[in-house]
Amino acid sequence: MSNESPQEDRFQSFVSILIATVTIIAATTAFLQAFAGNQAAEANRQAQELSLQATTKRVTGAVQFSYDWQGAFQTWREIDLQIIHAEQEGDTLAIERYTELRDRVASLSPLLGPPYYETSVNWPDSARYEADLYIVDSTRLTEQFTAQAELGNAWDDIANAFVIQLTLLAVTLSLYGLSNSLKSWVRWLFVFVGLSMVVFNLGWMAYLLIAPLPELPQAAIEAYAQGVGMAYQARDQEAIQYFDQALSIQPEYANALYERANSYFYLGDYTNAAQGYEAALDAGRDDTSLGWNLGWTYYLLGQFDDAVSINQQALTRDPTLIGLRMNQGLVLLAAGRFGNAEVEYTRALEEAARQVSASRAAGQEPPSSLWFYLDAGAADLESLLDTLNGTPKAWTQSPPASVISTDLSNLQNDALGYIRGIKEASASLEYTGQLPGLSSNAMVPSMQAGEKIDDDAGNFLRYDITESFPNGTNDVVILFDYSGMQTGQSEIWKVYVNGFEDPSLRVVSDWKLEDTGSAVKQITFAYSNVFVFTPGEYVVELYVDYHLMQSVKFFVEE
Amino acid sequence: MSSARFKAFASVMIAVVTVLGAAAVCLASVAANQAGNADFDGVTASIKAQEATMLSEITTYEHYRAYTTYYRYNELGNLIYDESLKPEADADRITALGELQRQVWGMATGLQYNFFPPRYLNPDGTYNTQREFDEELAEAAQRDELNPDSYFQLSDSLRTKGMLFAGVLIVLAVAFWFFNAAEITNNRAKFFFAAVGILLTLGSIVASLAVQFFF
Repeated sequence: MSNESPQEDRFQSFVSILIATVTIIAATTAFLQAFAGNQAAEANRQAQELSLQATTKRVTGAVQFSYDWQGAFQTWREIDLQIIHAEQEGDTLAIERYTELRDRVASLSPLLGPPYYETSVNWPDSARYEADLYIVDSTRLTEQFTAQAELGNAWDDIANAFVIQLTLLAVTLSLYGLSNSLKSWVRWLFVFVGLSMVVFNLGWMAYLLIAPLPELPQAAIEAYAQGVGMAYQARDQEAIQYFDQALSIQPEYANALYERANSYFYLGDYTNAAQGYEAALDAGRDDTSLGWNLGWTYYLLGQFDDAVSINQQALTRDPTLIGLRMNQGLVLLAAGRFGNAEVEYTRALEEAARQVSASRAAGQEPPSSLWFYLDAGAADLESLLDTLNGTPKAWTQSPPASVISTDLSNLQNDALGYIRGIKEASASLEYTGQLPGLSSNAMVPSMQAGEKIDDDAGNFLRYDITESFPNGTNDVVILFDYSGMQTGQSEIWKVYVNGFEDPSLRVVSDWKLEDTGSAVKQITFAYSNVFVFTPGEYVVELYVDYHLMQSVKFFVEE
Repeated sequence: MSSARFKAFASVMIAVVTVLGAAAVCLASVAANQAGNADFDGVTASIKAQEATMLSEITTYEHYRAYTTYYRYNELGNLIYDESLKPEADADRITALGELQRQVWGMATGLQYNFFPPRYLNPDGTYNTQREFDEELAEAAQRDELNPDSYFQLSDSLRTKGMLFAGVLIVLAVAFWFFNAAEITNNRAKFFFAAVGILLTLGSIVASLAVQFFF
């Protein structure tokens, strides 16, 4: 029997009931914590499974497509070339034989039959085949994985919140226990603080129970995956319809906003593209690709300040992005901020040299994209100059000349210098791992394209200089004068077709001629009876010791 | 029962309920731990299954690539043979075709023996990639557990078990509340509180045993 006063007994009874009540709340919290933990574990497990399945789908799809393309189609194509050869030779029986063989080989892969083989262009629609084979499926699985992972994270957060609540309830129980051993008003303070914590916990618990979880509807994922498949086939209008469908179900679907923006971009609708990228950014997609694309779109729209700002954000996150840094230089150049542009181009080339040097020092190779971005950096500058000169090409991407209000003379001078610098750096880094050294005395003052003319007996008559060659041309000669050459100097010939280098036509050798004179370089498919130059613009460049000596342009007509 | 004896009884029941609560937490924890292990085993099986799928696909298409070359030469030999029978083929051509035919059939035969298993050749000369893939996968299943579903079902079951023990904990907490109420009450209501507490405790014990042994 208690010896305490009745008032003390009442207090202790009151605290006992409080403790028992808090115990019930704690047990309920523990139950909810276990529930949330289970949900998190299940979601994370499903995310792991989906991730594995997505990887497997992509790998097995790539394996199968590798066979379809380089097993079946390559064989088909080899036989097709044998047919062309037989046609050139007029061997009817061989034509029949190889045509029949080619048709039989076509049965080995779905890629070589309807609906993937396009008879109108005599070439399979590989993008459509890949989209059907694995792109759509693996995209769906990847999105499902991402959705499950986000759901798992959300449940993890909830479970962790319940753990904190349990800790607070333990503190509450401790306060109530202590209050029993106190006699003064302080014990009521302990009771009040404990009650406050319980009320806070109950409010928090209620919020956790009613707060929505991040859920991505399956229908939105399906529409998104179909959209990605269409975009992969460059069917951007249809892709946009699918992305619209996904966004009508889930308006804040960041990936759908981003991919729809990409499709708008490829359709040349830069305004909608920029708005789409901004919406994707607002929806939570914040990565380098988005910043890169948005910066480039702002540039094409002539919003140079916005472009500089978003490029800078992406560069701050990853300063090693050579392509993006050259974009930044290009934007600054177009905006007339010549000093800043020079800084960016210089840093881009230094970064390229650093990456090549570091890779080679580690016994590795730099990423292949490095060479692509260096080429693209020069091509973008050429596009800007072509636009300003009123001679844009089919492949030109640049802001309209009307939005460039800077000193054009300065811009052109600087751009030409950067183009040369980038091209020389690219050639030198690729073959020496270092930026080019000082120029030698070598000079190539003139370079022209021409055609070799023989008589009926096949004896050489002359070279006819021309800039334009008829369709079907399979042999072009480059005539040039030179001086100051030294035997053994590096000599590189590069050929650009419609703005992009054709690496199969690149020639790398050492200089073997005299130090001064005239020479002819042949660019030819005449060694076969099958190939000719495709129609378009050709630019031939000669580098000596990695310095661009001279270039010449010619056209092959449609 | 005197008031002192009743309070002692209520105190003992509070202690019993507390011990039972601790036991329920312990069993829930064990179940959660076992569920985690089952998940791990399931994911391991899943990884092995995906690995086996990829390797089987690679192997099959490696062989199919070799078969494609075989098929090309074999069919070319057949076509050359047909061509040599055509009336427009003269003697020189027939001789040349015969030589070419032996050459390409020789290559086809060489490929057949070394670069793909001829077992998967169908009677019509086509290659059964699906059969080879399925056999490769079945072979991998002989070596490793590739089915994660049984592990994941076990894991789900154990998680539910853990949840049920956590639920029992709530019931025990309510029983704890009633025993407390019984202890501090001096009128006849204390018997009602104690009775409810006892019922809840007994119910919890039965539920725990059912979960432990029958779930």
